[in-house]
Amino acid sequence: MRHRWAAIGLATTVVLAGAVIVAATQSSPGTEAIQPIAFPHDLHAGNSQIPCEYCHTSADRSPDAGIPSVQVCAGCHLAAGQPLFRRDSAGIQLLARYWNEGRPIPWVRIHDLPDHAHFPHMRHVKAGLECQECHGPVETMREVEQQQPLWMGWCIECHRQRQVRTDCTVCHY
Amino acid sequence: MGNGLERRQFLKVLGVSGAGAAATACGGTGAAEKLIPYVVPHEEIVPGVSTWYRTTCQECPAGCGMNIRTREGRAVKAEGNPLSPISHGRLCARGQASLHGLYNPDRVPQALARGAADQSAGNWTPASWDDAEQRLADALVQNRGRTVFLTESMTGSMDALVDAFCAALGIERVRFEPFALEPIRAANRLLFGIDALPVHDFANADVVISFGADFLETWLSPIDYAHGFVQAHALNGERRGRLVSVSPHQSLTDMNADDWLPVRPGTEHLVALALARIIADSGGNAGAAAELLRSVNVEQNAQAAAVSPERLRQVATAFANGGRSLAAGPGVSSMHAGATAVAAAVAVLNQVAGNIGTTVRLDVRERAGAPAGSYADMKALVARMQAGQVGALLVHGPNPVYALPDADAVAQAMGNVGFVASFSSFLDETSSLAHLLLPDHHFLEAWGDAQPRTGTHTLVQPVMTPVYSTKQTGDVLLSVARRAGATLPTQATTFYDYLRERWARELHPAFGADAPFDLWWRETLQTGFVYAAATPAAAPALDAAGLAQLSFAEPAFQGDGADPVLVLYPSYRFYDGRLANRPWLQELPDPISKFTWTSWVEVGPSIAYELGLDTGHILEVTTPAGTAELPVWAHPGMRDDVIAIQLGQGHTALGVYAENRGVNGVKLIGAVADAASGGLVYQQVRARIRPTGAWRRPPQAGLEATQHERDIAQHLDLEHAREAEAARHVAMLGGAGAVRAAEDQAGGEQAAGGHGVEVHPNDARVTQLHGAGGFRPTEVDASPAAYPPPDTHYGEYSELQPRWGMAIDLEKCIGCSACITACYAENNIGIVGPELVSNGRILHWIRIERYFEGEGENLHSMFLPMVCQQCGNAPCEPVCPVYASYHTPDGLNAQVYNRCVGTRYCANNCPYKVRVYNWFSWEWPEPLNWQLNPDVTVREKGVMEKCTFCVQRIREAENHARLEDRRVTDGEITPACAQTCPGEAIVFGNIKDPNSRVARLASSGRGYRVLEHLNTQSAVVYLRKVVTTVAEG
Repeated sequence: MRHRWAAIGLATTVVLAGAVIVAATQSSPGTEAIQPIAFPHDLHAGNSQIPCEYCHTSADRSPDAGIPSVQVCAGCHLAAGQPLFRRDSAGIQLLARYWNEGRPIPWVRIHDLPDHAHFPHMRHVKAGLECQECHGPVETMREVEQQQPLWMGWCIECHRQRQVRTDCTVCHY
Repeated sequence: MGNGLERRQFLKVLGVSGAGAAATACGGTGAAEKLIPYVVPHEEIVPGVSTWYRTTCQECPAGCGMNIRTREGRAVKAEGNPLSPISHGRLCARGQASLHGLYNPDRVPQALARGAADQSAGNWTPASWDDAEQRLADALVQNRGRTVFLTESMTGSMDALVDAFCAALGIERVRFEPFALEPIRAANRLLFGIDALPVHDFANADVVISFGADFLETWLSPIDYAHGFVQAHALNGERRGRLVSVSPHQSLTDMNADDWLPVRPGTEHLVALALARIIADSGGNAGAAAELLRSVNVEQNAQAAAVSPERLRQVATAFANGGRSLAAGPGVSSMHAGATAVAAAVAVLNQVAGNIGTTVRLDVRERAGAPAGSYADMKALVARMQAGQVGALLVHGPNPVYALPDADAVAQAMGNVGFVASFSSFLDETSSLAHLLLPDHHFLEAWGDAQPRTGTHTLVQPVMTPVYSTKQTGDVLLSVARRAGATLPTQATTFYDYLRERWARELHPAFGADAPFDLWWRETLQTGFVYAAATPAAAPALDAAGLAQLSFAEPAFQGDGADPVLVLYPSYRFYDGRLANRPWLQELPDPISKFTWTSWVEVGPSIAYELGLDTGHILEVTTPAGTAELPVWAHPGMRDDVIAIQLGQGHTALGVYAENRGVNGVKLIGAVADAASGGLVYQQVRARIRPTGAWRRPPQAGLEATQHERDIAQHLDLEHAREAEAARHVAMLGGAGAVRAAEDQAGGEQAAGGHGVEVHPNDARVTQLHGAGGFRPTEVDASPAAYPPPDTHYGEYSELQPRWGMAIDLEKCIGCSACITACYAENNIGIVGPELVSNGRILHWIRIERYFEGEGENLHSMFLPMVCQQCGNAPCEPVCPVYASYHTPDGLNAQVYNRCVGTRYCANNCPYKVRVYNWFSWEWPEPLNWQLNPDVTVREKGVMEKCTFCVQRIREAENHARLEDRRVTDGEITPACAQTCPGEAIVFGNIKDPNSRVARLASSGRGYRVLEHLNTQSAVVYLRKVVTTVAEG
């Protein structure tokens, strides 16, 4: 046909662009991962009603929400390096091993933003946002899954609704 | 349509596929990140929040107090300790670059050993610390009575421990510093009976005369002196200090002088004595120097020095009657064979002007503690090593194979020593010849203390765990003493305990007796130091007998009398060469010549013209001691009978960043010690120069030495400057030619209108431009505070937001370029290397424009820090096709890295040329990448970048203020450049707030904006420099 080459080029672009759109997001809703210990948020944050900030302590003071140290887990679960309760639990056994060997637990990151976006947790906590707004109903999750897309457009939408700054250099610098 | 592909089809396919290719070039990596928690968290660390530790810089002997920012246990930024009486919260470029010493990939990572047989080969084998210490102990026992411990000039507890160690093991101790300034000490010994490097009070000196003392660069305590000098010198209401420099060659310090006396080399003491004679004749108290001064003939001395007697009288009058005064000298650059005479003459000059005991104090000393030995002592040690009289040598600090002339002889002598152990952190020229390496911690990893000045005791504490498997030398000495069966007068087994023991015994009673030791110790760690100002003792009297022992004849220089004298001068960046392996410092353009990564030879402009030399022509320099080839730079601030080479380069070891770059100037002089002081005669020879005909593009960042009448760096004479300070700022219109007064913002009244500073000379040219059909600017209220500018049609400007602005006082900028290194450290700026610097691709976010005006005695230099002006009417914003460069509501010109596609149109449009492009992705070889600031995105190839006014600090302060339910206060945000500037030249803040410091400074009558006629509406206001002389009142 007349514009054969142009058509092939266009089709290629569409296919590739589609692949890019899928690949470009570093994480997306539904992302799961195999965690080193199958930590159940529903038992801790749900049943036991432990507040988010008991473990994620720096969320109100730092751009990073923080991940609990092994000591935080050991504080409830272990005494003298041995499980205090639920000795049959494989996860707690693993925890005891990490603690006794002095090794950190290498959690797999679920919620991630690219390095060029500097997201300040403490501003959002100060603004009164519930953790669940962005992270979903974590207290019901056996395994944490990303619920929200975390795309920039999604962030901007909320910023516009609440009429707060959408200036690029608030997050990108 | 023919066969195959026609042009139009080809272009269509190219366009569409090209777009597809571009789309696929971006995208995430897809690999999941890990989140690694602490096992047991550190009490002081909140992830994402900085933790600061106070310590003391040890990059040079000045001992400036430091405040180190750490993130998650890694040091990322060095700043000055705001409470320190020495650093006043500021650091020089060397202090800023200390992180490149800590994270240097060429550090010796662990103890290394090799047998004597392998000395010529590089067969180092890793040794355990246990093994290494035992080897050292065995060697010390074996060589008892024949061992020498060579150290730098230490102070404080480490000095005490080394003394005790040497006493217990029968070791002789030798202290050596290349810049020990022996002539000053010798002169003070002879004249006052006090062996001291005096403390100089620049902050209280209205008239300063420098005889080759580079007190803004490396001389004694450069940050304290620079801070004090700017305080006294910069225009402050009616007050304006003066600096006179007496030198055949202008260092950076001399370039800040109001008057330059370009004296013949070797005649500084004649000038000092002539000045002293003039002052004594009009009533100055010469004391025991009266007889000497009576023999001084002012006209004769003036003639010998090649200055006019009238000028000398002007200077002398100002020195005696212009307020408080201070004469300083000599420095390393004026250490010729008559340097002790210079020091004595300077002391006599201070004496007659009444400075001894006031601005020059001998009761308090720089480098309090046992002072360094002299070069002559070091030379004697080399001779003894050569003669086989030294069985074992321990080296901590000095690098004699580099720093001494006749390095081959030094190396050979060291070869005659049976056992050499070095505590050096690097394989430098000296430690490469050792048999055992016991690498010390970097000071940022170590415990310690220092007494940089009498009455000031500063602490050194580790700000992070050691990067490598090094061990603190204090710990090693304690362990080795035990192994060697020696008893030290201490219970401590670690240096930390030793340090605390000594502070508990000697300092706690004097400084903290009202609190228990542990509490006082913790408080002192938080402050960083203890300090007691010494009550001024009675001024010591001059001893005529001592004075009589000195000769005030002119020194001779070796070589043909027709050849120029070779001046060797210290390096602001590398000091005596010890810091040449810090990549930031190699990349930092030298403040004088703007050269990077190499050496150069400075010649006077007439010589350059005669020989047909351009910058970059290779000149062969031959002295009786050696020959070298270096690129030329014509330095307007030089006599024609001198050439100059900066010390500090030309390493043959010390790591990849230092090796095989430039020339070691010490190789061009002989091993000659000054008879009177024992110091090395740095200014010793005449040099035969010969153009080789070769030319290589020089790695020079900043090619222009003149402004080409663009009025970029502006100045006023003193009278107009004083008027301007008194007047309120007049808003300058964009080229319309007239000035009108701005409303007084505080009171809402109309300020006195019509007149103010003189009509800007640019206006005439802009009028010409109108006539030629150039653009017609509209009349706007052009003050930076009137923001957003009227008629702006883009951006989300809000009246509630601040406008971030800067006021840069050109009176206060000394051109040292510490701001540049601070910016590199804060903003993760890539090191491009010498080839790219030659191509003009250096990544400066801030640069110092250095302009020369006038010539000869009337030469004066201008320094102007040029940053992104954050223009309200920015030429770079409309041309970005992807909106990566745009204006933020708070007045910044933003550069959004993730949007930038690299068209580089913005840099093309910028009239200030402050935008820089990442032509490549940069590497930070481990562990240099540990230093990267986590708050700033690291840019890849293809992205434009520029100064952001440290937007990460602005956001951090805003976040912090929001958590505390308040607004940001004035002075809460300080960009890295402003933070480190020793002269406090840069002030940052909300320029819309009339009560802010920046707005008050910006509204000064001396204020102007660079290239204002282009109507860029910049947010940076410069305050004009004052150009004056001692003759002006």
